[in-house]
Amino acid sequence: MNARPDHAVDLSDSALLAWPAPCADAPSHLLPDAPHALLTRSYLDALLAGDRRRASALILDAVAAGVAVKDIYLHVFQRAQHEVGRLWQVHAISVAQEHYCTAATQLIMSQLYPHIFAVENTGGTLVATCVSGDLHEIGVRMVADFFEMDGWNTFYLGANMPDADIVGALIERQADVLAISATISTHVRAVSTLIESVRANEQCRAVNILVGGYPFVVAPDLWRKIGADGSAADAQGAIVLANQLRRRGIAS
Amino acid sequence: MSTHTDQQGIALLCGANGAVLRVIRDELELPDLFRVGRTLAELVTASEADTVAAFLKVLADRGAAFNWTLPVDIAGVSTPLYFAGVAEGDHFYLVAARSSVGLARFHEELMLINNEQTNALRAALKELSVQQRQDARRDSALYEDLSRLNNELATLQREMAKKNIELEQLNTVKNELLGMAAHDLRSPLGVIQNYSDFLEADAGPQLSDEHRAFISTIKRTSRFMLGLVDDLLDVTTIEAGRLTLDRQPSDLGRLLADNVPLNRTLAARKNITIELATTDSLPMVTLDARRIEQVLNNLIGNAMKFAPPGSRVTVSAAATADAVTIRVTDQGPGIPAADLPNLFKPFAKATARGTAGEKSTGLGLAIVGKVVAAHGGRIWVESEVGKGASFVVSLPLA
Repeated sequence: MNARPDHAVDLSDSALLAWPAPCADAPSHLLPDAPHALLTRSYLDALLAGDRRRASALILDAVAAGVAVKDIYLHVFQRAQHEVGRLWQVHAISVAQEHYCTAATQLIMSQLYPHIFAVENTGGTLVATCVSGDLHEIGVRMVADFFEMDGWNTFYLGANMPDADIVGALIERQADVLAISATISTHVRAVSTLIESVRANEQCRAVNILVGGYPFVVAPDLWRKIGADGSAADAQGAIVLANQLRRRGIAS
Repeated sequence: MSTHTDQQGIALLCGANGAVLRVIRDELELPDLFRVGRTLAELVTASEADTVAAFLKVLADRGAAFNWTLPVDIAGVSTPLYFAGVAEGDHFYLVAARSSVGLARFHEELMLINNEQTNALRAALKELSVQQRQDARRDSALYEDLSRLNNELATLQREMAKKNIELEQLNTVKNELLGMAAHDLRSPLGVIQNYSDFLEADAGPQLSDEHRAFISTIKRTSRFMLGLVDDLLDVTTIEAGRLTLDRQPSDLGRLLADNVPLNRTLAARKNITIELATTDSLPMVTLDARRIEQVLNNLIGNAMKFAPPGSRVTVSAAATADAVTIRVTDQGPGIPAADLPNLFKPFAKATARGTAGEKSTGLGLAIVGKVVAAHGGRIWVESEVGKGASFVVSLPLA
């Protein structure tokens, strides 16, 4: 079997999961002195053992004990996902385990939604989407959740949404920012087409467009070429940029 | 002396763990024994598992092993077979015969038909790898599709969680609004009632019968509105989760005996009799007396509303080891099955109408249901159209 699926070559889909070019001897992401290192280790062990209930209990207990949901996302989910990608690359786990871990993490994330959506909306409105549905879609959804925790009103549209519907959602929600994620370079064309559709609509003039994902990490200037307003290396960077763009929009 | 049988052999393609992947040639005619999937360790007598392991290790380490005797369990008899093999990548190519001479002969013959055998071996390996590739491709496509499916579900779940929270917030706002509106309606209604009383008392004797009837209508209507406002406040309080019960050990028999007669004045106007069955042997029950009185009066009021003149409403109570039940039975028109599921929902209106044109707020039974539930109790209805209805409340004793 020599044809590895795209997601093996490219560990990162979204800005959040941005990841340097993979190499076989990549070091583990579970550093012992990282915040919540023990929790992350136990969480990943539970997932690799196929025990999503234990993984879920670990997270819910931690949140009940006062660990911030943002920290769970940043330090546990994100690092565990990176480690899963690495383990798959070095053939330490099977493709089935990789998919299981991602699916279980998505489920556990959804158990945290009551915390995430309880944050009062004080910021702008974000519509987020990605141009391909694969394992890495979890990344852009995590980005949307980060915006939600920052007080933004967010709407995550799935990967299969036609461009016209995305434009419709931007108008209906009076979105300030559209975030688009791409997994691999061949998806950049689709991102570019979507941007053209948004720009062509008069009612979307105020919408700022952020792009993220692996192609924009390896080519830092690519966002400008396809007509976006910016790109960020991680979720926190995306929020800072989105807030700047929004303030500039309000001021002008 | 070697026999013909001794010279026959078997050629196998095995995996690194000794599992049979292909039977290339079987002159021994032991298809049940040398089956695809079985390992060498399973074929030999149990005590010889170490020898098999050693054989496989030599094969793996040195690339070949010759003339190993492994006792194979053939139909319950431990029969020595002579094995030789070579390693080919991750696979072992093995030959075995009943004697070492047979092994040599068999191997020689295999060498003679080497080309044919090599071709067979090549074809077998190719077929295996094609199969593996196809399986891997199919698995990969399935995983990708499952992943997309999971993404769509996760996206829907996110949207639903967001909408749920919005709904909860809307519900809170609705309850606050209702509570506020009801509260603000109370004071003017009190003024209307008080001034109607003053008017009736001070000017009553000078008024015509028609004007006195106007005042009476004003009083009745404002009383109904006050009841509605009180019920609304109750419902919003309960729905907002602010219903706090003051539960004390109470004499339920006494509570019934005190409250049932209070309804008799109203019942007499419709020529309805209210009977209270004996309540002497009821135990003490931990309950919020004011709220259970409200339950009782709402149920009796409801029964009287639908009972025809001249009929009877019966109130009874009974105790079991772990619960008490209060039963209010009327001789009204009964409740159609279609009305039953909505009976205890706020603002649900029954199809039946009050026999004296009584108005219904649609809140009385909703409050009853919620108060009973807050006590950890249950309420249900036993009814047959045309034969009256029984509302039964069960309250736990513990």
